[in-house]
Amino acid sequence: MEALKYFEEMSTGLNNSEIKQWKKNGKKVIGTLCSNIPEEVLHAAGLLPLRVRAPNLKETSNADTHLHRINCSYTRSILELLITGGLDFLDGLIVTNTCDHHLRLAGELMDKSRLPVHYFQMYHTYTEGAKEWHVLELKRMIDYIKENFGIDISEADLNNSIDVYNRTRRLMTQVNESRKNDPPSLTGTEYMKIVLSGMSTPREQFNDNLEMLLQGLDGRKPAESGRPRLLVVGGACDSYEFINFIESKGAYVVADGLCFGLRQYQGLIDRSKDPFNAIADRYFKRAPCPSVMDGFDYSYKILNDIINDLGIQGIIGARLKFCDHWAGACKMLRDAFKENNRIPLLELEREYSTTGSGQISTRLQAFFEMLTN
Amino acid sequence: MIVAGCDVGSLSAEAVILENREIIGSEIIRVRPRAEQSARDVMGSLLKKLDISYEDIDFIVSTGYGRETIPFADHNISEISCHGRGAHFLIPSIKTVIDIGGQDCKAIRITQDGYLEDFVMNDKCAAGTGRSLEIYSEVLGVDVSQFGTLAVEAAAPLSLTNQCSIFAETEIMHYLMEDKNPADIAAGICDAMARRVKMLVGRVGLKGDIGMTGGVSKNIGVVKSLEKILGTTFMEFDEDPQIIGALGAALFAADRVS
Repeated sequence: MEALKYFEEMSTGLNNSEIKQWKKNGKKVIGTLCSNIPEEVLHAAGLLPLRVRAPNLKETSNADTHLHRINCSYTRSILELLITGGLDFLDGLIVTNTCDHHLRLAGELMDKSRLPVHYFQMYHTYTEGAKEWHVLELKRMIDYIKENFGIDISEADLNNSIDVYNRTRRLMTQVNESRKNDPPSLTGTEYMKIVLSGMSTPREQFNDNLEMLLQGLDGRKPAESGRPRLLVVGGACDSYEFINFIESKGAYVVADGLCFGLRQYQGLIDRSKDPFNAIADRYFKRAPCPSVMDGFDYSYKILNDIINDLGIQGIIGARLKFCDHWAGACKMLRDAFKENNRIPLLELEREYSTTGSGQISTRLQAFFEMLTN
Repeated sequence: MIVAGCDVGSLSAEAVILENREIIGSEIIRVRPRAEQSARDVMGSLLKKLDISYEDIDFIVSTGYGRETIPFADHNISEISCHGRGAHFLIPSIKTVIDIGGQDCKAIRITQDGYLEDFVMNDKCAAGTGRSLEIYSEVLGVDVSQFGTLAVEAAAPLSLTNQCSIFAETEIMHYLMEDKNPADIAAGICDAMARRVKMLVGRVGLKGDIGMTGGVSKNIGVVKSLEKILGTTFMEFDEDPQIIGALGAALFAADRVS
């Protein structure tokens, strides 16, 4: 399918052909490091938000000199990319305080990057004060854009971007509907490529390609039915090779609770409100990650609904080694799902560049044997 | 009906043959560099012992680290399911299995029919595995098969604080330089291993009767330390606990034929 070929091409490597063309047209690309950073604001300024990843990175020895070994491999990989020139094509960077590892990375990037780096302070609780702060942070981001790129953003610009992003989220909801089938109309691997494309191409083009994709999905059967249906949750999991490894052991990944997926594409923005509060609201109301201290119950509810809607039989908790947030979340989710729904959760510890291993293979195989008992 | 199970691990390879779901023979060998060779050698040795050939076998299931590379296997199943199944076959009241092998350590919970219910594995490092015991035995100057009997002679087990088996090796050497009793050192190692296993087992929960499988279950020092630290007594198998993975694989093979 043409659309799938497009998504495949756009998700391989970071500086893809769409980005190269964008830059050739004299336009600018801003790297973001977390799905909590409101891209709509960047879009409103005519900038291309690019979710920074480090695909195919084999080692991080340059970054390791600066970061402690207990910093997670995602932060080390991004810093490695910066040091070795892999982010030179960007025009700006937005960093944030999702967790202590992110904070450490933010410091390094601000210290070492020649790009204008903006530190976006994200919220960590569901309180009115935090939401007000979130609105202030949106406005601070607008100031950063004005100071560094000379661009003014009007409310009309923001509303237009909200519409574009809402269109994406509606389309992605439809795409996810097709994963309710058995077999799902898209494998988890194919879906991850779509997700990554959306985070690294001009949004309008992505939307058009999603429309084309939806036309071809009806009745599509990528493989046979009857395989275990999985939900994958975790942090910094952007490797379609890893998803493919899971699926190759005899299952389908039909849903996710990932930044590269659910947290990026869930939750419409309310156009009846002023755009600042509307955007802040959406980021508050969509599925939280464990960086939101009091977000567990809400996260559990959302995942529980997904489990029921998609016929999920097992959960994979893919967390990076040294990730404190997801270590806690995986345990809490494992216990909660075991007690309430009797859905088992398999915790897979990985490094950012892990695509698969003998140890993961054994755990997956045993997990699927357990699910089919 | 004749079926076989072949378990190729990181330190040893085992084969078990069943006739009408009864064990008619088993074999254990040290692994070769290539898993396929280990499988051929252990199966070949057992077939010769029983005077039968591959053609006589209705179905072969492989398991263990090398399970996917065994060309004569009809199917492969994880060693986690196989250890559970094998232990259950020998003692049906077992609900929890602790398997400490060459390179990893597992806590396995099984249903009352012997199928996998829950599990947790630790294979991030050598600490708490058979391989680390081999390293420590060498430092202490004893054969690994004598390590356990040495440990149970301890008067006052020494405390080992290092998580890493490489650094633990250094700690042991220091104790030897200080003329500490090797039995006390060995017992300290067993206690440290037991504490690591307790942490793992806690995540899956102890239930029902408990069995220990894998090569390390033959180390009386580790077994005693674990029983003490878990506050339990392990069930004793009539068969060599090292063959239990291959036995489970053979039982899964039998399922396929019936």
